[in-house]
Formats: sequence, structure tokens, C-alpha cells
Amino acid sequence: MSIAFEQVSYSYTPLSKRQKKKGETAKYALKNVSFTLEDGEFLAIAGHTGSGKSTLTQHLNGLVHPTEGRVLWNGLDMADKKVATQARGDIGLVFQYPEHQLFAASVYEDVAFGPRNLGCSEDEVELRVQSALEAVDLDYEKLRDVSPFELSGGQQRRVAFAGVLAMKPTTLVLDEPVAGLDPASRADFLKLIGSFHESGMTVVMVSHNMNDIALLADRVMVLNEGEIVWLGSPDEVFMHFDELRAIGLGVPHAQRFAKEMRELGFPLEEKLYSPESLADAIAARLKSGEQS
Amino acid sequence: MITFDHVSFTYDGEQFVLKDIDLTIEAGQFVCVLGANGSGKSTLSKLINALLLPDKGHVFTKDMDTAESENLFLIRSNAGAVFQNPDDQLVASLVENDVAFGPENLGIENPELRDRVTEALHIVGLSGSEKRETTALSGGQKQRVAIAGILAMHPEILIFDEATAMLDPRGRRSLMRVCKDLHQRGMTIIMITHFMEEAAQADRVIVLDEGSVVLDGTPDEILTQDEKLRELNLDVPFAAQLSRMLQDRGIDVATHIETESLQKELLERFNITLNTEA
Repeated sequence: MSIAFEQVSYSYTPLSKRQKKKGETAKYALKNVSFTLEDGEFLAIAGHTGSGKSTLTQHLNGLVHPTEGRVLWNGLDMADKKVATQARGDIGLVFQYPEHQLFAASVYEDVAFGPRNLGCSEDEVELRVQSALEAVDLDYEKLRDVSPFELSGGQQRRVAFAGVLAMKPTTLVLDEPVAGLDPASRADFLKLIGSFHESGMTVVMVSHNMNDIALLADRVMVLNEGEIVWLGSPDEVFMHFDELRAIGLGVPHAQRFAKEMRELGFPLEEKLYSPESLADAIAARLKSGEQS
Repeated sequence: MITFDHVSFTYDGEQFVLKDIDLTIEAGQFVCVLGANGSGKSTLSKLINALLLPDKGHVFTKDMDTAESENLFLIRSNAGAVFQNPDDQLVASLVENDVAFGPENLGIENPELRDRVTEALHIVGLSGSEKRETTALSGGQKQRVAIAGILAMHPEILIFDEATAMLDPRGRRSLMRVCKDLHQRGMTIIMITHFMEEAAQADRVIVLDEGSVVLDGTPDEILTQDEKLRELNLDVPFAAQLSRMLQDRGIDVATHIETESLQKELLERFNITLNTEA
């Protein structure tokens, strides 16, 4: 189930023909974006506020259509309404603060909404609701009849995730999935998202937390002012330390620490993104000094 | 400046989200309140400016009992709060009108009103944005406009209730700078946050768990307790985390909460090993 962007540009205020003739230029939220989302990969999209991240994710399931260029789903143009409708069952989009979109009187009804809309039988709906709630570590029997609004914020977000999973998408698109959670729930959610990926789903995660990205992503895309600045492995992207800072993004804590140490004259290798590998390297360096 | 005298609070009459809180916050202090979701930290902040009233005990803000309705006006104009969602807090479509909204309601008139707006926008680093539309601002800018709106009321206490939670790193850094600047100007700052890097910069850290104060001290005293913090479902500052990992690997370093001081100690150790080699 591949998704391909072909030179996609998007403007929220496209110009009329007359304005074009006058030589006015439109403001673009996305400019000439081309890439292919590979099956089963974990792609992280990072960018400063206003970089075009959310606009890009909305193209992924046909919520908005390119002003120029095409988005292809299995080779089919998503600008075609029929294609977009089909694709929506296949690509699950979880918005920022998805718990704000819960609406039903019970957890069951909320999660059942998606599969019912897909035309599933009630038996099938029940199966899907049950397995979706289990996938997000919620107790189906205990919570099915509870109002989602009586749950904690973290649980509400799990219900919202389950609602998307119940549509059985092969691709999951998550816009800032752990924003606003406390540290313990953050860690739980990141683990959960990692498990979706391990179970074979293609995952696209929008985030500006480079530590989270370093932990999970196979590939990282960095957007700035609507354009792709880098697209590659975490190694390839995180080496652009100063440039990332300049466009308002950080780098993983461990990497920043290592770089500053190098500059202070403490020799450390590059590509140290996790605290564990950094601690190993520093300890080894200090011990080798002691032994010699 | 702010006193909690045996304060308990419940939303539903059954479960107490704050239990017998006794606290004194001095004028000019920069206090950071930490706690997992549901620990009661937001409730605590809302009691300071009488958005909520205690069910038991008393809260005194500037020596005024928040439960006395005649104090309400003075308390609210002296203790302003900025909340999490930048989109929920602006009332006007132009920046200058938004900032003027608070002082105008206090009865301030031009030219003082205009001066206050100019000054407040200057403090938050948004001079020249008077005529911009609030909807065209970034999240961090919106939060700074919200702060300016409070500053223009000349309060002595500023409460940040997870005001940086929805901001990106750049927005967060800019807000922290404003916050430290206001503290240096003598304001009392109460900051509710999940970010340890922010807590490390406070004078005092208070940790809540299930409605009670469980830790209270300087950042150095509190943020180095990595096991305790994890138990309370809180983050550990990166420097403290790395210090502990190095200790586990047999390196004898102190537990630091700020990266600069950890780097300095590691460098000193490295230089010693170099010298002994030579």
C-alpha cells in the first residue's frame, strides 16, 4: 500500500487567473514535495510550527488535495473522490489531541463509529471494537459501557486511537501523538506506537521531539517553510546539528551533549543519539585513561 | 505572599484532589510545581487566584482570603494566569486590543492604557506587533500576547499552568526567557510544568502526588532524586539521568541537574587522566 507524493504544492489561498496574470505570487504551505512512503516503514516528520507538517499529513488521506502535483495511493490519484474514500479506510489519521473528538455516550459506541461507517456487520463491529480496545491496553469488558468523558486524559486518547484502529488501516498517521501527556503516559504511548509498527503497520509520526524520533523512526523527514530539507535515516538527518537548531528544531539530548563535549576537548564519536550509548562512550573514555 | 492553610479541595464532594496542603510562597520566589496528571497541581494553581475556592482551610493571596468575595477583584488583578492552550486565551482580533482588554476592565484610560500595552509587549518581545491579527500568530507568540495582557494589569504574581505544553522547542525557549526576565524584575512566578529543564531554573520545586506535597526544596535537592521521581511518574532531567548511568558504569561523578555542570566535571576528570598518562 504505497503512498507517493509527486511534486506536491499546496496553497490555502490559491491565486485566481487574473492575479496570476498580474504577476502576484501565492503563499504556499507546501512546496514541491516529492517522496514515497514505503510499506512497513516508520517515518517521522519533524518541523517547526508552520513548517507544513500538518498540511502534509492532511494530504495523506485525501482531506486536502494538492494545488499542484499529485498524491498517489497504490498508483491511483487521491484527487479522485472514489479513490480518496477507499484510501480513508486504509490510512488511519489520528489528529492532534484526538480526545477532543470523542463524541459518543459510551466507549463502545465511539470506537464502533468508524467500522459501522465502513459498512461492517454488527458482529464484525463488535469484534473490531474489542480487538482495537485490547490493542491500546484498555479493558473491553470494564470500559465498553462507560462514557469516554469519565476517563482520564490518557485513557481518552487511547479510546480515540482505538477508534482509528477499528477501521483496520494498514497505515497509521499520527500528528503529535504524545503532546500534552505526562512523562509516564508519554512513555507508555511511545511503546504502544512502537508496537503498532512492529505488528507490521506503516507509521507516519509528526513530532518535534527529536528524542522520540531517535527512539522510533526508520526515516526522518525535516520540513521547513513547506519544503523538504532532509529525508533520510536518523544518522543522516541528525548530523545537521547547527542547521536543525537554526530552523527551530532540536537534536536528541544525548547528541547535543556529545557534540558540546567534543567542542570542549573531550573526544567522543559522532552518532551518539541514545543516553545509553553516550554513557557507554564516556565511561569507556574515562576508564581507558585510568588503565594506561 | 501566598499561603495555603490546611487546604483541601474536591470537585465531586467525594474524592479530594488536594489534601490538607500547607504552603507558604514568598514574594519574588520562582516556584515550580511538578506532578503527574491528576496529582492536583492545576487545582492548586487555580486556588491562588480564586478560580476555585477551598472546601476546607484557607488560601491567602497577598494576605487576602480568597473566599471573601470582596477580595476577588484585587486578587484577580494581582495574580494572573496563563493556561495551556494558546487558542483559548485571546479575546480580541488585534494584538493591542487583546493586551488592552485586562487593564481597560480595571478602568485604566489612555494615555496610560496605551503606555501599559506598549510596555507589556516590549517585555514579552513583541514590540511592533500591536496591529497584527492574533489569529496570524504562532502558538508561542499567542502565549506571549496572553502574558502581555496580564502584565498590562501590573500584577505581582504570574501563574503559568502548563503554558509551554503545546509549544514547540523554540516557542518554549522564548517563553522561558520571558519568565526568567519577569522573575528578575521581582515578580512572583508559579510555574506548573512537566519539563524538568524548566524546573531546574526555579528557586524552589514542589512535587505533588495524589493531592499531597511529597517533595519541597531547591531544584538541586529535588531533581537529583531520580528513583523517587520515576516512582512519581515524573521525568528525570537529562543530566541527572546521564550522571546515574555513568555511576552505574563505575564512574564516580556527582548527580547533576544541569548539563553544563556535568560536562565540566567530566572534562576535569578527563584532563586528570590525560595528565597522569603524561
